[in-house]
Amino acid sequence: MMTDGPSQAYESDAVSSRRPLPGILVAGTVIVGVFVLLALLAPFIAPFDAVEQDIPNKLAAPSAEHWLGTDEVGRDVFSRLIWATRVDLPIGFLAALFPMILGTFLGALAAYFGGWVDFVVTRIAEVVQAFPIYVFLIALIFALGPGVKSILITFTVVSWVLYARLIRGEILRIRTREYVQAAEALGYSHARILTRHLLPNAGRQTLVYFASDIVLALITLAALSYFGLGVQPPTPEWGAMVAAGQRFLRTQWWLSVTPGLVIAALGTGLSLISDGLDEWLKDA
Amino acid sequence: MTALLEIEKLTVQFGSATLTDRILRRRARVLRAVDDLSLTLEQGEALAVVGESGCGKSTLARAIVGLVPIASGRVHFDGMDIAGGRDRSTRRRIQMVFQDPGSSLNPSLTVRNTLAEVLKVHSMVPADRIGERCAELMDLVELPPAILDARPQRLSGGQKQRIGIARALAAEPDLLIADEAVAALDVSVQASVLNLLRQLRHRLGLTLLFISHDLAVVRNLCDRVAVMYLGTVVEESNTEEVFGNPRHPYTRALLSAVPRIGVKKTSGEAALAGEPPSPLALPLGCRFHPRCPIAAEVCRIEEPLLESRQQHAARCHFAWESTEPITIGEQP
Repeated sequence: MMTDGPSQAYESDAVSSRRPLPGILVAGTVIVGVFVLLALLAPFIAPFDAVEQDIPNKLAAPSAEHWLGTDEVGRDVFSRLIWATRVDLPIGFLAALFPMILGTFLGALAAYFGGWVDFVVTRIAEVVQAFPIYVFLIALIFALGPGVKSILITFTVVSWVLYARLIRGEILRIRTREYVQAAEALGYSHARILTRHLLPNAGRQTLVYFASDIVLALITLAALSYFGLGVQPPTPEWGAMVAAGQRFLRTQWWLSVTPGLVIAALGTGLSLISDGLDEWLKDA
Repeated sequence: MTALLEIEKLTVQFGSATLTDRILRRRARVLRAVDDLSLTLEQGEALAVVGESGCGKSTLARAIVGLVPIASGRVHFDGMDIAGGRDRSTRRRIQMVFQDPGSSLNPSLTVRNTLAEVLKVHSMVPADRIGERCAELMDLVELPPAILDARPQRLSGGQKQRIGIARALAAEPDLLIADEAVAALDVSVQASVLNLLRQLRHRLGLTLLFISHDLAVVRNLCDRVAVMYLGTVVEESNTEEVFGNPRHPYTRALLSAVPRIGVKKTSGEAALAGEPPSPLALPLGCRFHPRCPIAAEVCRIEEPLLESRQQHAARCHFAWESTEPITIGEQP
C-alpha cells in the first residue's frame, strides 16, 4: 500500500536510532585509545625516566626491574617505548592533519570555483606528485634541517595532494545535486555552501583516508628517524629506537623488535578505524 | 493584474568557442537550450510550461532562479532587471521546488536545520521564533512536526518533496517555480502533492510557474499553459483554450498522447514520430517541421512567428488557417 504525507504512520524509532558501530571501528578505537592513555599517563606508568643513562647497566636482558631490558647507554626500554608515545602519536596525527586541512581547502576551492583556480591547483598537484615521494621528503628535510618542525612542514607540502584530489573529485560529483542548487537559489554565501552543504557530504573518503594516512605518516617518520633525519636523540622515538637497536640484533634483538611491534600495533588500530569508518559512513 | 515576471527574447546557451575552436577557426558547438523565448507571468497566476524532456523547460526554470547565466534577453521581476544578476533579497523572492526528492535535501542536515537555515540567513523571523516557525511550515505542508528532527534518508519520496516545498516557502517567495516537482513520485503521492500545491497557491497568493512534461498533471492546477518545443514557446493560452482548441500541431500531438478513458486510440493519432532534432543543429524554417504531420513547403523555408489571436498565441504558419477547431487523427 502506498501512503504518503499526513496519513503516513511515522516510525519514530527510525529517527532516533543511529546504525550500530561496526565491530572493527570499536576495536580500532580501543587500540588507539590505549595509546592515547599511555601518552597522557606516561609519567605515572613509565617506571624509569626516558633519557637518564645508567652506563654500567647497559644492554641488560629483560628482568623483573627492566621488563624489556636496557639499551646501549643503560636506559630502560619499556619506559622509553611509553615516553615515545608522547612523541610519535602527536607527530603522526599532525603530519596527517595539516596536509588534510591544506589539501581539503585547496581541493574544495578548485572544485567549487573551477576555471583558473582549478587549473593552478591541479597543475601544482601534478608537479608535486611527479616527484618520487621519499626522495622529495628526504631532500626537503635535508634542506630544512632535521627536527619536528621540518617534518611537519615537509609532510604538509608533500601529502596535501591526495587530499586535494579526493575532495575535488567528491565536490565535483556532489555540486550538481539539487540541494546544492537549492542553496544557491536561496542566495547562501559561497562559504556557507562550501562548509555546510558540500564539505560535510564530500568528506567521507577524506576521513577514511585520514585515519590510514596517520599510519603512513608514522611509518615514514620512523623511516626518517632511522636515517637520522627525524626526531633527534636523546628524545625517545620508535623509529630511532629500531635504528639504534639494529647493531645488537643478534644478541639483544628486543631492542629493535619491540618498538617495531609497537608501531605495528598502533598501525593496526588506525587501519581498523579507517576501515570501520568506511563501513559506518557508507550510506549515511 | 500586473506582471510579476516578464521575459523577453531570452536565450540561454551552453558551451562557447574553445581555444581549439578558435585556432581551427571552426564554429563553436553551442547548445541553445532556451532560444528567443518570451513569457509573461501575472501576479498570482499559475502558468504551466510543458514539453518533452530536452526542450529546455528546466533550463528556463534555472535561468529564472539564477542558476545558469543568461546569454541574452530581458528578464524583469517585479520591475527589476535580473538578467545580469541579482542581490540576495531578490534571490529570496524566487524559489524553486526541485525534481528529485532523493537529492534535493542535504543528507547531513535534519529537516529542522534545513528550514532554520533559510530563516536565519534571510532573517525571516526573530531568532527566538525559529522553532515555532519551523513547526508552522511543517503544518503548512501537512507533515507531522516529529519529522523536524529526522534526516532525509529516513523519509519517503513524498515527505521529502513536501519538505522541499517547505524549504522554498520558508523564504516567503513571491514566485514559486516547480520543476517537474511531481514527476519522480508515485501516482497516488503525485495527486496529494499537486493538491497541496494548489491549496498553498490560493492560501499564500503565490505566483506559480509549474514545469512538467505531463499535460494531465497541469490541467487542474494552472490558469495558463505555454507549450515549449526545442527551446522556445510554440503555443500559449489559457488552460481551457490549449486543451480544447489547440492550434499548434505539436500541442495536438502532445494532447493525443495523454491517455483518456473511454476514447479509443485511432491509427492517425500517432502523430509524434521520432525524437526531436538536436538543439545543436536546429532545422531551418519551422523547428517542428521534420516531425509535423501538416508541414508544407513554407515550413521548410520560413520560421513562423508567435502569432496571437484573442489571448491565444501559436507559432505555426497554419495555426489560424481555419477558425474551426482543428482535430487531428479523427478520421472516419
